[in-house]
Amino acid sequence: MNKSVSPFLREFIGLGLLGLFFYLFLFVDFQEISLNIPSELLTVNTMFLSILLEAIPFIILGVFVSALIQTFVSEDFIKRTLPKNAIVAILPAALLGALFPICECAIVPIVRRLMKKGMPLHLGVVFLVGAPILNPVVFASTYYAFGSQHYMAYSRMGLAFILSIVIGFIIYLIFRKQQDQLKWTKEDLVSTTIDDGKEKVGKIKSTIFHASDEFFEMGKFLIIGAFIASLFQTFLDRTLLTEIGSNDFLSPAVMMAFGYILSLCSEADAFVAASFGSSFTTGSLLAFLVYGPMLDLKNTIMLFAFFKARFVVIFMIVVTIVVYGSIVVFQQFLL
Amino acid sequence: MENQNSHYRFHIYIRGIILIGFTLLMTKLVVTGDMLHFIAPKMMPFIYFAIVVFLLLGIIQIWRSGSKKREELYCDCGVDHTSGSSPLKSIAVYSLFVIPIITGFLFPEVVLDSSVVAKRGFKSLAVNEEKINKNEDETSEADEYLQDPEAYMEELEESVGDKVAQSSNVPDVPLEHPEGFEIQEQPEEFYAQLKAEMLKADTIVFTEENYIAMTTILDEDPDAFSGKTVELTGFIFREEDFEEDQFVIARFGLSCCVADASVFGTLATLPDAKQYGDDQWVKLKGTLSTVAYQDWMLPSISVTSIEAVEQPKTPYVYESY
Repeated sequence: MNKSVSPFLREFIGLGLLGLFFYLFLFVDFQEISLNIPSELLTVNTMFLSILLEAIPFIILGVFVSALIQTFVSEDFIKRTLPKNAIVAILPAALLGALFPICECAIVPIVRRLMKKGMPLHLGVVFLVGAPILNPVVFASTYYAFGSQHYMAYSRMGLAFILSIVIGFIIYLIFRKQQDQLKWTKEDLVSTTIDDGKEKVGKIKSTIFHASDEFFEMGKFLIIGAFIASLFQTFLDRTLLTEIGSNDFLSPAVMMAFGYILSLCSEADAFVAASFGSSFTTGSLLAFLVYGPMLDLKNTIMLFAFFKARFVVIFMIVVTIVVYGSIVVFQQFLL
Repeated sequence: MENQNSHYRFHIYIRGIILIGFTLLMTKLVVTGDMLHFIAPKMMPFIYFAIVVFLLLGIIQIWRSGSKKREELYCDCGVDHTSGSSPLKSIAVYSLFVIPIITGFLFPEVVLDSSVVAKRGFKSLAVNEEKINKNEDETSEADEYLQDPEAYMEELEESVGDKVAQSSNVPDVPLEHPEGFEIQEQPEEFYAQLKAEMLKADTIVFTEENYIAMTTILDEDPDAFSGKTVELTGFIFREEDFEEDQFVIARFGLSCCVADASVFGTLATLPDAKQYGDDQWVKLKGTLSTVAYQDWMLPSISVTSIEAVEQPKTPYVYESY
């Protein structure tokens, strides 16, 4: 703590940064500079910024919902509302996930907050995998993206609903005895005891403070994830994928991996999947549509930051096996 | 303790400045129109929302950093204090936020080019006809199976219905796209109508609004349009196995952001095609015919007139729903 910078230096850094931003805002025009930068790097930058700019509003929403939960929903309320029987509670959790119109960028802070407030682990997981797919906007975009193949949208929703229940159940079996898989920071523990101090900061103010602090906490992982995804976006040759596209067992795996690294928003991924329509099996497109929102690169990094590593690894394995298995079954018997 | 307070105060101050930086960046991108190089117009309301929130948060943070009250500094329970542990780590973390702001200001005008097409392939068949026919009979089967645990599926169908109804009833819910998802906007009808119009016209002019739809319709049923004249603007791109006189005229189509861009292109032939390099924007006119390429039967344009043009102000085309 004593290593902290002197007050003078701080002012300098702060004002310098502010000055830089205003300078860039007012005076910099790229066409005048025209530096010699490889076009691939520029493409990476464009992809990176576009993922970031698209995700930021949704992260803000997620962070605000989370902050509202933090400020207004009490632990008691969650305890009282949830069914006593852990397994019975899975179904309402999945239905609730369907009601929350939240995409996968916003879901991590919300689930984390709910779990800190005492929501059981496996129900948090049901939310985590179900809510990003089971929402009206995702349904609509899938429905439209696949033109006359309406069954794609129905299958996607059906699979997501059933699989979120299955995954929640498996997680319950594995982690029944170790509910606490969140990383707790020192401050979390402190804040629960400090509450009695009663030096009230207004609830609205405190919601705003929570939200902006959490934005920075989430934001750095979002930025790292978006950057890695943009590298794949730029350098991965998708035409190579099409050669494996028609294999029944390989193609779902490939498309799952693809959905994972692309880290698209669940509202937009249907259009990308549809563009592969001609060269991939229907089952593998479904795998892409179901697996991508449940797990992707940018939210994996967030998960590792907020949950214990062992839990995240097991969670990812469970989701992967369940999705792959169900897709293989699905396409053997149905498609 | 006092030292720790001022230390923490500095973090809040820097965060406030970064939020202001994001506000400035997004504002500039919106004002110059460069925002459309990153995301689709239908996402713009979310950006406006983010600008307003960031501005407010930024101001509040800076104000808060000067606050004397200890509770206002510390009321947060989820704060990441690890970033306060060492100056080096703080610098790394805040650089993560500062870098995109700076590169955003420096390179807002970069547009995807043919090197990206090469990685994505130019064939973007949205719907494959054979597949539709095959699968339509099987849909009922699929539904039956899904009803296996019958309750699930019925519930789902209901909830899906409800949800769709909801999405048009409650436009206030901020997490949804505010427009464009009304049910009456049936794209099939739109496609059918557009196709009928295209079949009626002698000259089909590709507009920016209908570029994606028209390319898709053309790809689905190339025979129907043989002999018609088309007029379109796009950039030039070639696959490795093209003949010398062949190229693709294409645009990138976005649904939400550049990351989900796919290529919507049509083959064209022109004897002195070599004259126009990759990434050159052209406006061309020509007659449609069909050609076999790899496993596909594709529409192809025999170019009758072509002129080089400047890259349009909005180089991308956008999904209209």
